Amino acid sequence: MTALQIPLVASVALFAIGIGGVLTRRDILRILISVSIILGSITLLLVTLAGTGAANATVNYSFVLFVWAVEILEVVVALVIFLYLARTGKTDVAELRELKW
Amino acid sequence: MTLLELTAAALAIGGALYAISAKRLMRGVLGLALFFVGIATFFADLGAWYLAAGQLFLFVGGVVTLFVLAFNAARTPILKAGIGGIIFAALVAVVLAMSLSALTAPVALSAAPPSLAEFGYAFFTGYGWVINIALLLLFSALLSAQYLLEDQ
Repeated sequence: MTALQIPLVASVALFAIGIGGVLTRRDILRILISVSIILGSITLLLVTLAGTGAANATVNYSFVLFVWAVEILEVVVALVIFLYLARTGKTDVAELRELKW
Repeated sequence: MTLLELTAAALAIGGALYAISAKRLMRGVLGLALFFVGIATFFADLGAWYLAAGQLFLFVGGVVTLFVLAFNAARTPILKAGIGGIIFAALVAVVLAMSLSALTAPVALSAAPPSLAEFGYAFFTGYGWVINIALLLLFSALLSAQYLLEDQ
């Protein structure tokens, strides 16, 4: 494999691992970790594509910063929801009913 | 060059697999930290050293700490989940990775990454309104977090 194939392949593998985690885990915190893995794989793909010259590097790096912003937003809100639910002892997503409006 | 990339890939993939399959959640968070370090290593290897530094500061230093604090504050019971799903996900990842490496032509690093000054200028001049929206969203997330916790 050459220079850019390893990060390309790694980003696809990480995306699949993250999707697998979201679909198979029941714990809300572990699902959150899986979503972080998915977003991390996306940033890796963006930076790798910038290195190929096929895309504008500045645009791709800017998207990475926006993905970071979305990820931090998601972590903050989801951790608060997790703390909120942990008081009731229900962090199993199969049992959640209280998030309905 | 290749040894560094293989190390980064091992860190990222191994950390990700460990993060979602570790029996103890705190060790899973450690796996997440390893995953972030692997991604930062890739960034540094691809020339985006400032993104690598940001990844380390924001995620290894910030997000992982948030996870640890939240986990310690909650002390929730550990939910058992089967390992079959993770094995299936790892197999899908291997198949996808092998197909991609077989299908794609060899690619070399061809474009020089922009310097920090060039990137900063382009980012803050070209995406000003998007940055404002992102900051507003971040601010509203903090407000809603405070509201949710104060409600209790």
